[in-house]
Amino acid sequence: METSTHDGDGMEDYTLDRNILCREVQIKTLLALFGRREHSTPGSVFLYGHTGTGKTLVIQALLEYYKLPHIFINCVECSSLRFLVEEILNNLPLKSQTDTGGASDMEGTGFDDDEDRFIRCDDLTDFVRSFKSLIADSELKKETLYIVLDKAERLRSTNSVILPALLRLQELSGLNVCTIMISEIVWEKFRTGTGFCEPYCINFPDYTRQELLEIMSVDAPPDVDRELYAMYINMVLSVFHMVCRDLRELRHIARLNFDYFIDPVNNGDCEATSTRKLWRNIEPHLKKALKTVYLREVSSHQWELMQQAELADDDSSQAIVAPSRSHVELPFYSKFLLIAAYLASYNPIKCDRRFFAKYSKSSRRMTKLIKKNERASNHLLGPKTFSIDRMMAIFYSIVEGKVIPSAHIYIQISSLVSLHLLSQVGGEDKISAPKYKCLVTLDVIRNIARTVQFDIMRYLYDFL
Amino acid sequence: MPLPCYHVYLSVPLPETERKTSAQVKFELWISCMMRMNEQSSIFMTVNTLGCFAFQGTTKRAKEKDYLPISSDKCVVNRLQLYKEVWDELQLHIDMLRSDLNSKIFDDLISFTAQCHKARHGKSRVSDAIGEIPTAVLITGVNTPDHGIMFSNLDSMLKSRVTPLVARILTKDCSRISTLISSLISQLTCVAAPQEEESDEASNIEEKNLAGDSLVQIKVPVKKRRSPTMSNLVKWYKKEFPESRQATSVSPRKRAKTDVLSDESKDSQTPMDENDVKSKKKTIIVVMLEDAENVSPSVLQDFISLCSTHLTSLPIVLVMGIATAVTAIHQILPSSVSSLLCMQKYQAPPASQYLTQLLDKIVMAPELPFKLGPKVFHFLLDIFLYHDFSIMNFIMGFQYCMIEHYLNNPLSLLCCLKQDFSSKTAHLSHAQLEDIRRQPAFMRYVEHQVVGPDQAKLLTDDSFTRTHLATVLQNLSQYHTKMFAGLHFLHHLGLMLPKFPLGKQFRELYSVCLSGNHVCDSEGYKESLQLLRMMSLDDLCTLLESGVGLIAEWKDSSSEIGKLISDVQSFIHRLKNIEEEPDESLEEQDDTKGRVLPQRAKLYELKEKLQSLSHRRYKSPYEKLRDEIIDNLHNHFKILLGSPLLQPLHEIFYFNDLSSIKEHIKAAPRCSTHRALVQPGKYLNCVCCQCEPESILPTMPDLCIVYKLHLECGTLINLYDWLQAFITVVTADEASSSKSKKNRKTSQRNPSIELQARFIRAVSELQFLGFIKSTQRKTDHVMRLTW
Repeated sequence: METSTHDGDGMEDYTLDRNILCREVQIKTLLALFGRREHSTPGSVFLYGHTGTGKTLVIQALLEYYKLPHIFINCVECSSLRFLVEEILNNLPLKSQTDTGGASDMEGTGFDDDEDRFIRCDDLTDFVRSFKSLIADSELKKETLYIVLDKAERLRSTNSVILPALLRLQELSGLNVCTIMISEIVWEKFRTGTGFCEPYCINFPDYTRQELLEIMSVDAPPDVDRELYAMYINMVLSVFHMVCRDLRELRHIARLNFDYFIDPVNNGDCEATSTRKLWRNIEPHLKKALKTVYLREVSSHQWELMQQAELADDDSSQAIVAPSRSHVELPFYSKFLLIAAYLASYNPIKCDRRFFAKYSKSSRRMTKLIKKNERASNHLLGPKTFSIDRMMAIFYSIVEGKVIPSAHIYIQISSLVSLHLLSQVGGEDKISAPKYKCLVTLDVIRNIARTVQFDIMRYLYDFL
Repeated sequence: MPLPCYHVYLSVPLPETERKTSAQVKFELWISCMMRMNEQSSIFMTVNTLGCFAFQGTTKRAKEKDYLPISSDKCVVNRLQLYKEVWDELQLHIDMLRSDLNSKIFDDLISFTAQCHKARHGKSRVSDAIGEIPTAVLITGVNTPDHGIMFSNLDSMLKSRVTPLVARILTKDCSRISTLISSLISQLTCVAAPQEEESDEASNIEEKNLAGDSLVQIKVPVKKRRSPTMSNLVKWYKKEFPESRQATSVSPRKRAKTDVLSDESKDSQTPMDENDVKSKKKTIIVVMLEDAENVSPSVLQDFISLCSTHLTSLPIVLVMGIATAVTAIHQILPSSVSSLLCMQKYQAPPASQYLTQLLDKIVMAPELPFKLGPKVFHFLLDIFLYHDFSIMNFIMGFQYCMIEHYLNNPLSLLCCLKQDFSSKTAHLSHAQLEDIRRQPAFMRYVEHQVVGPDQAKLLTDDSFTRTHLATVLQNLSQYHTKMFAGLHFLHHLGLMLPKFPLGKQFRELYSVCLSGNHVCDSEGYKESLQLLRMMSLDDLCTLLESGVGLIAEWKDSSSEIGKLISDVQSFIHRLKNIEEEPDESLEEQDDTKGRVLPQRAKLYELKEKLQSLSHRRYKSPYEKLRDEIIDNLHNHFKILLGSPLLQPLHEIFYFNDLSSIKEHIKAAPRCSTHRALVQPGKYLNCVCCQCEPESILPTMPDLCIVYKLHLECGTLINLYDWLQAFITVVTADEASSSKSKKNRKTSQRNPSIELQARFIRAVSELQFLGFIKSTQRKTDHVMRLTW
């Protein structure tokens, strides 16, 4: 085993100098698979597990720690076969470069200096051939080369041959190559075509609460007592573990709220040991943070001032304050257009006459009859498409005063589309009769209607 | 686009073209122009997703001379010169306002971008591993056309104060992740290495027109050979901006370059940064996504996850522009991606606030000569409030009005800045004076408002007219200062009243004043005086004091304002010493006997008694003083707040010709197309086509006949019936002249090829204009698209 050459501490070793916690099993398996530098390894390894379980971190740290020759590729940016293979070929850790060290390596591969050395390649046969010749010429053939493909699930959609080819790269090239794929989804979902060589699968399970505690305690700022920080993390977990197990998110929350926690200790209001007092101090902050978990919004000073000013403004002018988070200020006619779009989206066409015609025979018996036949509320079914004519007809009947159908009105529709308040359905027929859908929710439209003093509930079929 | 129909139009031979009247030919020319413009007109007629509050046609830099009338007329040239002077002055004000308004938010944003990565490097290795990209979310509001300017301002500020590496990513770059990254790379490399461009001239040079407003133009060398990936960018970044330990291995040329860069950034450092210089400093990369909502979500997600993986080597800061609300980000990004961000929210001041300031500084400022009349003022304001919230469009509209004023009104020769009044009038030539004298406004003035020998003198004596005009101008400017001071004072009083009878915004009061009636006659004014009469002593006192403070700057400008201020100050003094006011209640004591109610009285007697008592209600000294104050103020307002439209020769400064600009600023293409097709006579100005809108004449162009016939149909139009109707109309003349029924019937059943061709051509033109389209629902039918 590789490990025995470095040191003989056994357990200690699987944490790579205590940089990686709680992943001993996986590291042990990987090391067992890798063997010594010159040993032959399985052709392909597949790592999977949820986001934030340390897959990328473990493999990167492992390869760096033992200084194994490797290429690390993020499949998101390699959107085509050409990008991928060129990326591999041009970044091979050939001995000549690795010897001279990092700086000159970067020097050599600048943007325009080495056009002559840049290898072009756009099909797999070509790739395997030049790959073989490149490796054979260098020292690299003595050791295992690791090609790490992060976010490997992206490869499924690019090209049907690329995945089998990469899995069989060892076989195709006849070299000591190991392809390591990292993905968030299980291997079974990758099997779409033929020619797959089954990789060795390693699962990265979610961290348990204890493990989370252990890992997050590492984040402790240097000037803070480890014990105290662990206590703080415990408090955070006790509030958040129910709703969120994403390590990344938890760390973010812990970092955001730590200042609130440590304030009384720093000010001398409270001993570092009085747990209850500290808990009482931090609890409201954490409860508040619970409402915005996953939102990732660090409220800035400017924003808060602005919001306060706005609220104060609203208070004086009108009693009802729109919820500020989703509040959008629109021009007057845009509001009516949006209301018209909402009505067109959620009302059945046949009742338009009843709502908007000036002299309609609105007999109650008729409405009851229609209601009986109606199966489900339109609001449960979601918005329906409508033609622009219908929307404009509703718009003209609900808006007060005479509105000239100027270019401004039509431009407003398209700007509503660009703001994602409306969406155009079926883009092929743009010129003659475009169709739209309204995307805003009932709450938003009610707020908007309130600002223009329009009682929208009276016009909605579902709420009659 | 129904191009095939156009081919039909070209290929069908028309033997009778030469017989057509010249008017008809002209009309066809017009139609073909419409067709060529189809690209644009279709935007208006239907809806295109691209145009978001677009102001069509302003981006094209056409030459000014093409649009202005032939400038042989010397007066016009002079006036245009004057216009340029005044507009430059205005532009200065607008620019200042713009930078003032955004300075606060930009300062915050810039300090955030400068700080965020420093804080990061101070911390331990672990916090780097979280991989959060510091992100500033800038909530910009829905007025999208203004954003280009805002972002280019921000861009230049960031470049000068934080880092040279700033990239603006536009929506059109974001169709795929590779195009996004290549645009990013080209912008960054261009900035840092401008001298390397020359070597690449052989390679593809693509001219990119950044930003719809064509503010920035950057030549971008595109290398087809390098794949645009982030890892390449990382390599480039490491080469160009090596960290301190690597600096030794860099070639001297490059080191010199990076030194220059770092020097620059050090020079422009704000004081707060200076203590951090010691810490390891990286050149930050700022990526601005101008319209994050319209970037396709998958591309944005990919881009963010890529940035986060490379964050350790590339210090990236994102600036995202969001038009609606913060929630939009969470709609676009799933939590796995948004967890890579660390967002700070910034809200740009709302457009309405911007407008208020703009109006205060530019439209409703006494210093600037050009003013909008009531109709135009309301028109521009309505477009802003009801339609687009766009400041840029407002300014453009304002500018257009100004050009129109200077072009078409000879009196505008006198519409200049205050300090130029005397020189301007003194240098009026005889021709110019004659031009002015010919104006109806001037004639009216001479006839109605000048008496005695001056009347004749004004029309004949040049030098007298010059001096007289100078005094008129002086009076007008005097009046303006008075009016604005008075209005501001009144507005201030109105702000304290419940329900704001005078309006919350100053512009509402101003528009009342503009409207032609005296402000004191308006409902709001009367109501607010009533309310003022009920104010408590403390409130009134503070209100008057602050009001006086507001108009103090105009104190010396005119005697009326001085009088108002001194009056109010004396009132304030009296209010403060209210105990010293004579109390009349003592004198009324003897009356009290009469006020005692009789012990027994008839009902109507009692009623009368009570009424008389209520009339002679006891008034406290404060109440009396208050009434006195209000009456006094009312008198002042009466003098100060006359409507500008009643002033002599107000036409010099006020532009109120709504009809001339309405069509240009608020285009209604649908209406004008309809009007042209229904009443071609008006457009062609020919005798044969003059008719009522409802009737159809055979002499009309074919297109109009077909259009009018199609107006009578339902959703689906039968082509054969339509053809029959067309032939009936067209052959109406011949039929009536020949009067042979048989002949007519055969012509209907078997219409001549020529008639068929004319009909088909008209129908396809109609289709081209977007009124009908072919349908699969029924054979031989077309669908009507407009209602």
